Amino acid sequence: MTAVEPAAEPGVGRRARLGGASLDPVRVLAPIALFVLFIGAWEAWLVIGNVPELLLPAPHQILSQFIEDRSKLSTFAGNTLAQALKGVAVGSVFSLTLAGLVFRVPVLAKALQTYASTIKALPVVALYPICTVFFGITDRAVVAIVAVGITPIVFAYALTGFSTRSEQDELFRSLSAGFWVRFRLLVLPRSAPYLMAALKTVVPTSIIIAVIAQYFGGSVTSLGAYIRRESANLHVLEMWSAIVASCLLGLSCFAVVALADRLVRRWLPTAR
Amino acid sequence: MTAGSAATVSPVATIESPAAPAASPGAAERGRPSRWRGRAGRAAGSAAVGVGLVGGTAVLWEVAKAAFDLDDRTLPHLWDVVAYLGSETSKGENYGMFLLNNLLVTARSAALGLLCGALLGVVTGVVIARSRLLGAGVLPLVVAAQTVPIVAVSPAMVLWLGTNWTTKIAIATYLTYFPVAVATAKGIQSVPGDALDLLHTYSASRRTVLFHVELPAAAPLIAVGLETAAAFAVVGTIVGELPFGSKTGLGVVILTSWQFYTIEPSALYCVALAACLLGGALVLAIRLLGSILIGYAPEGGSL
Amino acid sequence: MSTSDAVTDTVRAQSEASSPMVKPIPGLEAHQLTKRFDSRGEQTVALQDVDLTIAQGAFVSIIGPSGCGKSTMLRIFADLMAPTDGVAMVKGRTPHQARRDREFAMVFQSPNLLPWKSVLRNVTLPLQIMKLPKEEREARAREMLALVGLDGFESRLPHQLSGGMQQRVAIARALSMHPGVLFMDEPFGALDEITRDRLNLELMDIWQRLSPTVLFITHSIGEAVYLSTQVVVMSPRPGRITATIDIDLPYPRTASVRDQPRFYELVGEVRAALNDGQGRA
Repeated sequence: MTAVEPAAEPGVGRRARLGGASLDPVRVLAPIALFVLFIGAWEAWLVIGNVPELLLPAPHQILSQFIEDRSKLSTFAGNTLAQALKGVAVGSVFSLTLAGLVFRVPVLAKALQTYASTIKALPVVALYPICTVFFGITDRAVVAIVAVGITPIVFAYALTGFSTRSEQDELFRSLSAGFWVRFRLLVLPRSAPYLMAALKTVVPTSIIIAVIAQYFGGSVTSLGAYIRRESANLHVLEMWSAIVASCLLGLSCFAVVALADRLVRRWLPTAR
Repeated sequence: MTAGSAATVSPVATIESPAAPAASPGAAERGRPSRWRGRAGRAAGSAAVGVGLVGGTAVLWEVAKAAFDLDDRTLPHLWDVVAYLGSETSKGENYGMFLLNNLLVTARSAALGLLCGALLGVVTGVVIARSRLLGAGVLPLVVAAQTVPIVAVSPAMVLWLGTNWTTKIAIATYLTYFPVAVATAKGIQSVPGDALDLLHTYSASRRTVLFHVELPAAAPLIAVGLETAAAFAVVGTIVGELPFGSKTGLGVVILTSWQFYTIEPSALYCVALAACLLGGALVLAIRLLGSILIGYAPEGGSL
Repeated sequence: MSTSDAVTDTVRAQSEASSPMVKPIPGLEAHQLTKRFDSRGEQTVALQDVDLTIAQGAFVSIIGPSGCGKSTMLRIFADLMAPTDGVAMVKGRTPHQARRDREFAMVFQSPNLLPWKSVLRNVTLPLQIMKLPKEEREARAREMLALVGLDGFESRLPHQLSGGMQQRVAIARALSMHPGVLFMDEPFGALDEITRDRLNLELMDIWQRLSPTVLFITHSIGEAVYLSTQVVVMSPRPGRITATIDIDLPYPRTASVRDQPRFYELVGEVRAALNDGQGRA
């Protein structure tokens, strides 16, 4: 299964594709309303069910803890982000190179595409201990596991993107373009949506992988390690505010990449 | 967990054109008898590549060991790792059997979680696709929910649900739910307007439209979403097994092997390979099931 | 390569030997061209022993129903496909060599533009691939864009243009290479009748100015008659040439040519030939 296609904008269904999509009030208000409803239900449930704070603290408690700890949390989030992005960089360079090489051999490319999507979700939890064997319980192990975790994903997207065919291939053939010219002028820009979709998937994922890895050991000043510490000490409020921080980090990464994706779509339109 | 949340944020990512049957060129061009031969041939070719990949990895393993001069504690010989399966545990059990039993525990939770997540996901997907308001509201939250680091929440879940199987299944369900929901919604939304207009002229009920047009059209996409979900289910279950208190499952074995790594490095490699194997097997099983149910392998699917 | 070159030489030698005087090299030449496809265990004969000679500077249209092999023939000439049997030559060279020498340019049914490149960059693309200096590329491209009436649109992106304008860009792109031979595979097939008529006039004008050899595939009888020096009629199963009709309409061919009685006679002749080919098939 090809299993990878550039993600369409969420919610782009039968309605218009590009342009003023973000101006639709329903698409702005509906998620906010639903989110408020969710928080409300959470608060209400804690009160009605008389749930002890240790089990699940209330959103407003988490929020005030989050605000109190914001400078500490943002430092930790910055470290987590840096390690995640380093891992993305290493993994992307490796997998793009690999995809570029494999793409030169069409039979191999076709066959590997099938398997790349199968291993797309490597059980990172099972592999992290091995990374620590190689790099010790250090930041480098975190970077390494992020790279390992994202490599199959980027590889699958890149290979699918590179292997896309269009009539323009015949044009380049009729122009007797060599491999590199074709790769640079056609293959690479044509796969831009796939590469951006890969980033959209991989960047938020890298945050999660980094948090997991840090949870099991890595730099002390990171979100994952902090969550682990506070949860071991039964500081549930601190733990939950760090979880919120990690969600926010993931979401803002997603937003940034989604924005970049829009810009790239404008620079490199691939629609006819 | 999760290389997973991968699909997460863009489960969409895994989406394939529902036109796949027509788009699968080989099958369309060939006549009936040769079609089966073609499929068998493709399966054989695919299997050959699979064997090649495993062999390649094995060679790479040993080459890396030699090239970087890695000692047996960092990277044991592949044959030592395989041989370790035959050794005995401290309780006198065969290690291979011990690993297999734990793997089956994990597999059972993962499969159940996948089932629950898939059912919930399909229902949610239908709702999202049907209602503009709900669709607009739920999709961003789906993205947000996927940024939750489950590994951090799992200790809390153990507090709520205990260390029994419900926690593991709940986590696996949570992770599998999103890719399936989004794939279903995307699939239904991709049904061409003409087809709906046609059914409309027949005065077809919403139910008829759902079961005869929308779900079949979405099936290839749902199949892809399920594959992603299957991989997540394994990861989620392992994460659910990590907190203290669990006694069986791959997650437990991973933790103990990690602790005793310096004494027995091969054990950690054994369990890591077992986890990868389980993930791959579940994904392939779902793919096989999908291709039988839908009647064709989505493009490039083979098998 | 070397074998096909040898074949080329033999064929050329034969053609020279068989004629009393040394003939000029034809623009396009096909000898016993045959193409079979295998599918479902059955063979489809797309082309069967087709012979065709097109003089340099001629404008030849191929017309015929779907499946008559007209696109196959063009694709063989353009080295997008290899023949099962027989020889195709472009200006005395194998299609492969002609492609390497950039002897021909191709216009596809869809404009086939790179959507992320501006109109100007699309037209300079072949020249970029041919490694021409930047100033020369742009000068040539602007010249060609002016020729197809698109000056002022250089910085637009393809999706900002209408279908007809996109196809004009594609033609400008093909012309920018200064090709000796132009292959056009139903270039106006996807356009509406009104746009098609206008583009026909423009193409005629361009051809009369630059006079490349043109091989033009079409489904439209009127278009074929208006544009061509010669119309080749093909019929399917197996794909072969059933008639060749010389078009003796006067030059310069302006729009009014399409109102002349002779135009309608020729249209009738082509239609009759098409029906004839159909009947026998």
